[in-house]
Amino acid sequence: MSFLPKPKLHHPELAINDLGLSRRDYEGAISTLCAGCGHDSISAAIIRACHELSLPPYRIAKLSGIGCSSKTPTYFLGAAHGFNSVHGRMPSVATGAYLANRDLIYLGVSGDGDSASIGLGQFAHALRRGVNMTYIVENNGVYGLTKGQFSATSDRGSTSKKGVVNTDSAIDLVGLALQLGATFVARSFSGDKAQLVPLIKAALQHPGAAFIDCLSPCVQFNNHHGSTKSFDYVREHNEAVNRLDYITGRDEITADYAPGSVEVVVQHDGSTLRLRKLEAEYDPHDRTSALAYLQERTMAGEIVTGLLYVEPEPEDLHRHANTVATPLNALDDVALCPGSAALASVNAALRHT
Amino acid sequence: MDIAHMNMDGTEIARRDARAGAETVSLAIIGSGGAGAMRAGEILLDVAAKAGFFGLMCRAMGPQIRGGEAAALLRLATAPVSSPDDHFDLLVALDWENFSRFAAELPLAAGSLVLTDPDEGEVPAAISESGARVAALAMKKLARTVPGGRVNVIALAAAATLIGLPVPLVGEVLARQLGRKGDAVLAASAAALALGEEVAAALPPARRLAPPPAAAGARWVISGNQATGLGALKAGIGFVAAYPITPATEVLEWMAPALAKTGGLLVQAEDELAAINMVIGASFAGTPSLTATSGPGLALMSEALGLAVASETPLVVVDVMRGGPSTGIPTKSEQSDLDIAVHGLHGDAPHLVLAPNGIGDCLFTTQWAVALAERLQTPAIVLSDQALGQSRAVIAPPPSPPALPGRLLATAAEADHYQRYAVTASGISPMAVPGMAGTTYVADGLEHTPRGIPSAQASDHHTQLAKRARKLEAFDYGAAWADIEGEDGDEIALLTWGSATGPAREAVRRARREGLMVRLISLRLLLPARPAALAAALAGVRRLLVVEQSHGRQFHKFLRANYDLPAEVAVLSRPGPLPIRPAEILARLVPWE
Ligand SMILES: Cc1ncc(C[n+]2csc(CCOP(=O)(O)OP(=O)(O)O)c2C)c(N)n1
Ligand code: SF4
Ligand SMILES: [Mg+2]
Repeated sequence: MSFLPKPKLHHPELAINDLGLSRRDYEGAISTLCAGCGHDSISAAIIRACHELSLPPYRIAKLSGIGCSSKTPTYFLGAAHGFNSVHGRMPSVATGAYLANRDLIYLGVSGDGDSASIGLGQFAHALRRGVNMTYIVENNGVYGLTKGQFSATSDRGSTSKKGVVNTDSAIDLVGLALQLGATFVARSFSGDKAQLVPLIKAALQHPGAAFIDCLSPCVQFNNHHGSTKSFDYVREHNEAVNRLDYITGRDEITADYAPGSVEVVVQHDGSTLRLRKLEAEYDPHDRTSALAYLQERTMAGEIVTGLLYVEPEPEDLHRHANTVATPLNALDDVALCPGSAALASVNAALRHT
Repeated sequence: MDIAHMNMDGTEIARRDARAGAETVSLAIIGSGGAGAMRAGEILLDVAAKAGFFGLMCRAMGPQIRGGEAAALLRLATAPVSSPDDHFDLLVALDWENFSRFAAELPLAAGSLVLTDPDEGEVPAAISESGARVAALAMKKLARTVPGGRVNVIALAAAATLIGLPVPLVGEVLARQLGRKGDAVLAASAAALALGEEVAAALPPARRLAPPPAAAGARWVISGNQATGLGALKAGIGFVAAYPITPATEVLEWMAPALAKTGGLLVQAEDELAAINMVIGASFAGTPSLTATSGPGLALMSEALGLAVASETPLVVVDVMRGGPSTGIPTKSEQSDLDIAVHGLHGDAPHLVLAPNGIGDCLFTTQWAVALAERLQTPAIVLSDQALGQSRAVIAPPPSPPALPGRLLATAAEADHYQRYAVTASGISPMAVPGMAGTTYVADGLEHTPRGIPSAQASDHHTQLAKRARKLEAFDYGAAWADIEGEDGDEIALLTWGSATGPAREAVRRARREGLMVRLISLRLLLPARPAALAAALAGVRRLLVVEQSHGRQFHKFLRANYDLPAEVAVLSRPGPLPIRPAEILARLVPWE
């Protein structure tokens, strides 16, 4: 693959964050995706989220599988570490990396083929283990990279560009993530940055398995009439249950809202999620009713978006494994060596009479 | 080998070639997204076929999914061609955007002619340094003078005129393709064609084709992946399960509608593990079945291949190889999956490995592989590659492999004493179709008794291992195991396989024409190895050149492990993605003259 570095031109009016970095410092190489591809908008949202959170790029590990979506880490966070792995296995690579170094910020980017077809097993197990990562599926309902076959998230009854009807049921990754125990579950749309950027920011700060299913139309193979993942279709059927404002510790809540219409969720690190309710009875802390709501609305033909579930005090894989706070890769001999007494007892156990 | 070229200047060479008419002309059309270079190339290939020529078209693409820069690499000839030539005689650049991506794939020589559009930027240094002649043709401006005129049609007409393809035929092919778009479009293309032909008359000469063979005969324009699909269909494949992967996807795209017409079925599986296990299930249930993939997919299928060996379930896996390991270079060719195809199974797992050695041969070899797998109740891996699979060729209709009896089925006579894994002299045991009364059995990956009962006994293990090896070893594969060209008394041989056979074949023919008697041996059947047959094919040979496209000399190591080779062996082993060219092989043979 070719790599076209972007010229770094610092515009004097570009906002500088707490680290003294501008948004340019969070960009990557020039995208080689098709012009108008939804994935490019998600890259832009990631860049904005990381810049606004003042994350040091070198503390981020961006991981991906294979697909147009999985190519995008080349196009954002050029100064971050990354692993472009094989098709469907990103979640396992992320799990291993997170176990060896719990201090990095893990951002996994995948596609619907990568996560719902070949990597469904890996997707499921990373979420149920509670790997502390932000897991974004750039969902276009097709395999873009291999030129437009239906994926496992294509809706039954939707048609391909050539008019073939998909007869298989769709896998709803949000439903699965809820069932599997992910502690932050959201759905958004590449065409709605106002919704997406705060969700990515909140997910990045969430200390557990955070999953975002982001509808991201493929302009080349799945943006026609008959597709349920086209820009027009998603815009028409998008039903947001809430709007999220992400507020770091110091920011104040200034806007006034009608009583009962705003919920404030204080996260583990002191940051605040302010949820403006659009659907009055929707409760983002109840897995069971979230699942039921989702199912009901999907049957009614709606695409439910927003922050669908969040646990403010989540547990994660390291908590389950009862590991120490120091990352495994930083534990030295002094910390790890059990000492000669322990060795002697091992030897003694092997001795006959 | 073209020493005479050295002392002539390019125009002189071209004039000479233009006068005499050449047996073969190579041309490349390059352009950025939307310029239509690939389209123009495809049309030229169709025109050449209509005119009675033979040809080959390879494609080179940039990293974009769609609409990126592309190069159509063509070779047209008066006789069948098996490989790209050493250099291009004509390069038509619609523009020079991202030319550097293709530069290595476009060797030029003195005598080559480069057409450049002066409004589309400077001619790159690599071109000027090649010594090729450069001529300006303002294709874009010319196209604009014709209402609805397209730049690639101007280029098409100019190229056809220069190399001696009949422009009226270009018009016919274009008209057929544009037919439904209405009279205005047709008129625009006809006008652009006429203009292109007219301006080409003023251009410096390029190498021209000699007249096509008088008795032209039938011609097919087909890609290797299509030929693979056709071979599978002809062999009776009724079920395909596969997961898309470059560069194998066209096998599936071609087979899906074709199977639907013949009463078969193609399922897009959720990954390669599912694909091959569905194939195992369908074959168990009685339908000849196949999957197609590329290296990473073959790696995932490895566990199930062991199951197919142990359970004696016939199936075919087509691996259209690409640059590896891992995601590697998905769009370009390499012969580097030989190791995993031969050695990638766990346990002692005898199986078939075959390799087509040309685009038409994809049909022959796939058809044969299905027949062998069915006959021998074992998995067969067919190693095609991107260079064969995604290139198109104009060929004479390819031959069919020898007919074989199909799967040996259990009969009612065996009812009630049926042994699925009966120990027979041939090693082949009758296979029951599930649903039959009296011949029930449980197919098993566990080692088993002849009846199919799981067993961990040494005697059962030894008996079944020997039976599974015997059925492959004892079978008579006939003459199709290798392609051999040459005569008794040749002391030099060239031993190769798969797509490397194309340039090797041409190198051998050129060498023989120059009086250097070289024999060509191209192995079609890789596993099981045929030591006695190769020994006979190598009789009298003192020097051997092994030709393959891998970095790790995989084929050479495979030969060393399975065969006795002559005392003097040289190896031309180069990784992809660039094709091996005939001159490269000849250069290795010349010191042996
Ligand atoms: C083992 C394996 N099988 C198949 C492929 C081919 N392949 C690459 S990407 C892809 C699907 C990508 O779809 P998705 O994840 O939805 O990404 P998109 O391109 O739509 O963004 C496939 C089938 C592969 N790389 N590896
Ligand atoms: S093929 Fe589809 S998913 Fe891939 S880059 Fe193009 S628009 Fe995006
Ligand atoms: Mg997709």
